[in-house]
Amino acid sequence: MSSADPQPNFRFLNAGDTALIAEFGDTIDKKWVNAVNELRAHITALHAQGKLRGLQETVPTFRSLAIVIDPLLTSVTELRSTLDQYPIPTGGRATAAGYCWRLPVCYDSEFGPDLKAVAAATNLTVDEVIQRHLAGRYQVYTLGFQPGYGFLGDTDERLHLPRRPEPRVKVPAGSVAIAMKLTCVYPWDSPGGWHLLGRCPVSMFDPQASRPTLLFPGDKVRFEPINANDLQALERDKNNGVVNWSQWRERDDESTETRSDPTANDSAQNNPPA
Amino acid sequence: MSLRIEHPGLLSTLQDRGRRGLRYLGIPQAGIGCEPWMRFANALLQQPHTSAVIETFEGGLSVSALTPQRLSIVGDVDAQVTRANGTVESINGWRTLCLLSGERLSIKRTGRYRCAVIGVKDLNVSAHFGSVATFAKAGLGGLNGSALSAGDELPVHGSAVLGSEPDAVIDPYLFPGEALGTTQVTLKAVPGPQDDAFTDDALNRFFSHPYRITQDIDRMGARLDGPTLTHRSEAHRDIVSDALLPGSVQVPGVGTPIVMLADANTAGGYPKIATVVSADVALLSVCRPGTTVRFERVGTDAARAHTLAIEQAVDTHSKKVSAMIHTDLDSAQLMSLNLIGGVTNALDPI
Repeated sequence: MSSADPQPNFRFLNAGDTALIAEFGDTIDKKWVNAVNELRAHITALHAQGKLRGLQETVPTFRSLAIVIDPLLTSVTELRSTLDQYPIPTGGRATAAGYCWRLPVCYDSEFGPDLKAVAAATNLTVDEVIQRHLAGRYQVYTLGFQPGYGFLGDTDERLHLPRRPEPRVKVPAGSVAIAMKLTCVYPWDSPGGWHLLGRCPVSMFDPQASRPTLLFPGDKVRFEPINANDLQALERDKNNGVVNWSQWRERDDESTETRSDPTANDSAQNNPPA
Repeated sequence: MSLRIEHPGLLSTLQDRGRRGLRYLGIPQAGIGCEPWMRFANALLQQPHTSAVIETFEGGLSVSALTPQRLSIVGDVDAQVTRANGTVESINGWRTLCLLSGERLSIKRTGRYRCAVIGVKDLNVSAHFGSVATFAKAGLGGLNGSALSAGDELPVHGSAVLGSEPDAVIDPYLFPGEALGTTQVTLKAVPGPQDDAFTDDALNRFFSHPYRITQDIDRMGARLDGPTLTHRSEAHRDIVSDALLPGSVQVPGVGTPIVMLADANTAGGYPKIATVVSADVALLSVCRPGTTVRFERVGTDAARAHTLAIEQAVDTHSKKVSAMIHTDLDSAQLMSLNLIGGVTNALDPI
């Protein structure tokens, strides 16, 4: 967002005694994602200065930022008055550059059971659907729903579709899907209402890694086609517990950020000053 | 130095206060459903109140001591202890229990509540992203990312010194202000964050009519049955996801509420009519299907005052339990602490 844009307004919504919600919008829009992240950075900075006693964590979503507090240490009323006292500085903060990923996807119909329906709904051929999905360079807007589940956008306008009217009871882990303006890789077998285009053999979550999710908010993702043989070989590795995430970084990824323990990355929010 | 899981029962997991700070990666808090019970279990064992415990649902959990081991049992439990000499004793909850090598504790049922808590003296399990709490769907916490299963051995620090100290038994104490065996609970709740997605009539219904806990209750949430809550419009039935917390009351299109519990997803796309006050989520976590639930409307300041009052009562009770164990079970002292003779049920009116 350029500094010429007016600062997006938010309103506070109550969420019991452990959280306050700052809501910016009710649509999926990059400008809300950026505004949510600016507020998050602002709150992290305030907390680092010791001004937000009892802050536990913040949870960004498309529409809002949830500010989670320890009710034994502070109150929603105190939190609101502190935030009123320190408005978000104008001009915004540069969003930290994330990693750039190049993730393999097999678009065979066996793994993309909705390709034909998506083609029919969008007046494209199956191949055009795949090409348009492959052409995108997506931003990881937020993670949520499940550990490691990243909401990536925006997809090509021609691929914008509502969710399926009947969600599937079980979407296989690794399914690559689209809905609304977004695309995702399902980290786990789970129920799901998105349209399935293919299968990605890279695990999105590794509980043994020092940073357990492949994706972080702010990362970039592009997809690369592979055939069924490659998919099978890579899924075999995945099932054998072989996780080598660095091989999926873009060759030209110039990000020098190093990630270790995500709780350490966010230490300002996790270790309130005594 | 360990305790072996002979049978895990319906579901037994290691839990503590859960994880904080990772929701932005989609990783939920998890942790013990009823924190007061965890604290009582640890107070009975004279150890830090945040030490990890076993949370076990319904009956079936069976553990045996590979070395002498002190445990505590909190909940409305019927259990059997098989002693080294082959004798079998029937016991109930709200007590400590010393097992010698080869002796076994079997939980038969968890009585009027759907779960019970087993404290383990000097349990030695490493934290995983800041917590021992098991979140099996993502392989987090516990012994190896999983719920407890037959053959697991829980490591314990050192060797418990089991002298001649007798087991301690305290009076049952469900939750501050709640009668034991209650089949109806009142949960304080703050309207929002999406109370404006519902008609005024729906909001009034929610706060004035009783709901019942259905069979669909697990560590993630409790689906309730009762008067249907109408969304203001079709568009208000399915919103762009925002954060979910334990206590969030989601209302999907069918119109009956789901109260999220410890394993709540980090975000969800149904509007939330209200949020149950954090202290009362613990109470709902132990209730059985069929329990009647009423929601009492409060503002955020009253919500916090309630949480502080419950905290005070739980802390006071934990300290009394702890002090009782610490004494040499001198009966005069016990009487002065009001912990025997059925006095504890009347503790701490709030």
